Amino acid sequence: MANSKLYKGSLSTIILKLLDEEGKMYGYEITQKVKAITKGDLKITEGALYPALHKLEAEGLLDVEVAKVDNRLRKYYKLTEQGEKETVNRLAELEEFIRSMQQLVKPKWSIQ
Amino acid sequence: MELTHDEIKAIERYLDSKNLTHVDLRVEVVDHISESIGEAMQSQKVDFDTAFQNEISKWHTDLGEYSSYWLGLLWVGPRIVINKCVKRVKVIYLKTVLFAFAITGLFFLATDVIAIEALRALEVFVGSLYLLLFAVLLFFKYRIKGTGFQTSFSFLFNINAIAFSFMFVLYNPFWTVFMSLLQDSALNLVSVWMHAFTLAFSFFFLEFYNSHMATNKQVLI
Repeated sequence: MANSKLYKGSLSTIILKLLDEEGKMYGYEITQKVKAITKGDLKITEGALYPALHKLEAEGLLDVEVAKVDNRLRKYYKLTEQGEKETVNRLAELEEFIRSMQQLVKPKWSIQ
Repeated sequence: MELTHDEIKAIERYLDSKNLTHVDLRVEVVDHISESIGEAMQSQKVDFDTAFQNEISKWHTDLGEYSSYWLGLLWVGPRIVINKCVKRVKVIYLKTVLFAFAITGLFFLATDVIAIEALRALEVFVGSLYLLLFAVLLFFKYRIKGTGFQTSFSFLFNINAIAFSFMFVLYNPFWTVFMSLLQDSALNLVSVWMHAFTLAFSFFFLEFYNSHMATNKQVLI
């Protein structure tokens, strides 16, 4: 299993990216989707997911929609207009970070 | 697998025992636990009670009793609620404190040009505004109570409303000398900071109220 600490700083970006792709999602669905994509390597705990969702909501990046499903209520999260713009920015930042990390751990040697 | 009405009720009772009565969070915790139990019953072929016990162990920390210096240690609640509230108040305190220092700085720079009469008039305005805000707080409190449920927003509203009601009434510059904008015929900058902070924070009561009412609309479907 991968070290979950490595993903921690990118959790909000992962959530934004998933919502950008899926449109709207609920909490449990996000955890299962991440688990499926990473083939079980990354398991988002309840204690990490909900604070991250609430923070993004408080920042105005997510909107909430409640629907009745089966015999209970379900809270769906979706990106706001500001959230869509922020997703692009954060993904660009993450890609830049990944490139830097690759250079650090696998430097390309060249003979000049 | 879809859970029965009684199984959902069992989850609700568990959350009652943990004092998770804040609807905005409770709705998603009930849904999360239900989905997870349903999934376990289907994929692992276990009964409801076994799946429920496994699920409870995952929520032990997040639903455990917790308090924070940021809200006051007397306010105890499930960790998931307190953490959400703390994150919000940290941002609010930062904004209000910075605003209060900015206003105090402006007053400091303008000390020589502000007439004493203008400060007296401002004091009457602030005193009247405090009484008006106190009335608004009581109205909001009445409306929130009328919804018949609690949210993390109403929790934040209630705990801060107590402190700020004291500010609006007891520390009103109308009758509390040390809150006067004037001290020995000079500008009292400490008082300016306190009033700027109190008035800036008051705006957030509207946010708590609106968020609670928005949750009310969402869950009344």
